[in-house]
Amino acid sequence: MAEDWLVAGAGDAADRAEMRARAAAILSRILARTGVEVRSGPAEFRLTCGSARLAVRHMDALTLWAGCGQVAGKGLDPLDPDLFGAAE
Amino acid sequence: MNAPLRRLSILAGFLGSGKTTWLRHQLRLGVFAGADVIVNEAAGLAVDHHLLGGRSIRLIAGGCACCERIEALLECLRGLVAEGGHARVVLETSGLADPAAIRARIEADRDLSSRLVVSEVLVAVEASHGLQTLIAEPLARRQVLAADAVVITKVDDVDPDVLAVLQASLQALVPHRPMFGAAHGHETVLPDPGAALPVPLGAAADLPAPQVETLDLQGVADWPALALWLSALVQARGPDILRIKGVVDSPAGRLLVQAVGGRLALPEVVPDGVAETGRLVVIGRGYAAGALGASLRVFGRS
Repeated sequence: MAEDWLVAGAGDAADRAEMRARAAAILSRILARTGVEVRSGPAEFRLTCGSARLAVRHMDALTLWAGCGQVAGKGLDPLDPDLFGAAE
Repeated sequence: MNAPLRRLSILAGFLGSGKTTWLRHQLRLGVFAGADVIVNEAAGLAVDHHLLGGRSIRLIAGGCACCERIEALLECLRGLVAEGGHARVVLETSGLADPAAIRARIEADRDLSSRLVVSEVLVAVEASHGLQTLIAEPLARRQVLAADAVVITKVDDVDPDVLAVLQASLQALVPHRPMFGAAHGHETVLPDPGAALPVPLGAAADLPAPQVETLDLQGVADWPALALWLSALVQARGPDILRIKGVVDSPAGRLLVQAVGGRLALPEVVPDGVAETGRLVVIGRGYAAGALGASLRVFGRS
């Protein structure tokens, strides 16, 4: 339901696209150290990490985060200081 | 002539068990007509009392009314008794409070207990995940053991077999206590659990006390950063995140943001002026102090 979160807070349709683009940019930035890149397409987020690729439909940001872990090859913990402390 | 005894109803239940929703509907229905209402919140940031509507609510925030804030509660009750107000008082405790400890302190206060009696302890248990909570959280079990009656909330949103096992388990834990259901706060008749067997709750786990943190979002995280951070936190740390609650600004307006036991609820739009915005309460365990704020800042950095 977390994509619904983005949409719930986005306002009108134009804002939704902007929210998704912004979400993709945030994820790419904070996950840069892992090599994960996120782009927002018309109907899905496209995740890449090296040769790993995954598409996550625009419906669930929980799955989006899990997908980032999947292409990174490990579960990602937002409270892991080794991973995210360096991004600050 | 002696002043009449006031009756105090204590409404308890673990974090996210549906206490506020249930109480809000009881107040609307007039069940506690004319009662003085006290709301206790473990965090310094209080949200629930805003959700109870346009009543005059007395708030005891920043700690549980069973321990850190017990003196504030006793003082509040003494004040109500001295004011000669309503015959009934309702206390909604924080989700981390032990109602037995509150009852014991009131009853031990000779002056107060000569003028106010704890007439009932109602304990809310959420239908879908209440059993897991009883298994995992010793406090949730103690709350139920202190109950005069149990309200099983959100019964419209649960598999009937899950509800039957919860009923059987509660009946095994507190035999002969009245038990009723609630859906969106409205009382409902519970189905017969039939031949459902209780789940053995096992020995109480030795868990560290939950940490209560209030995060300031102002200038830290906008809506997409916050939504992503919450999703990541719940996805990665679900069992450790007991409760998230707050009212935040978004392009769509003010949103009530909530998560319970690692489950995100869809945000609800709340009217302007209803509650303070820009801060978020997170109650959980298993992470270092300050880790939440540091992580959120990473997500929110533009």
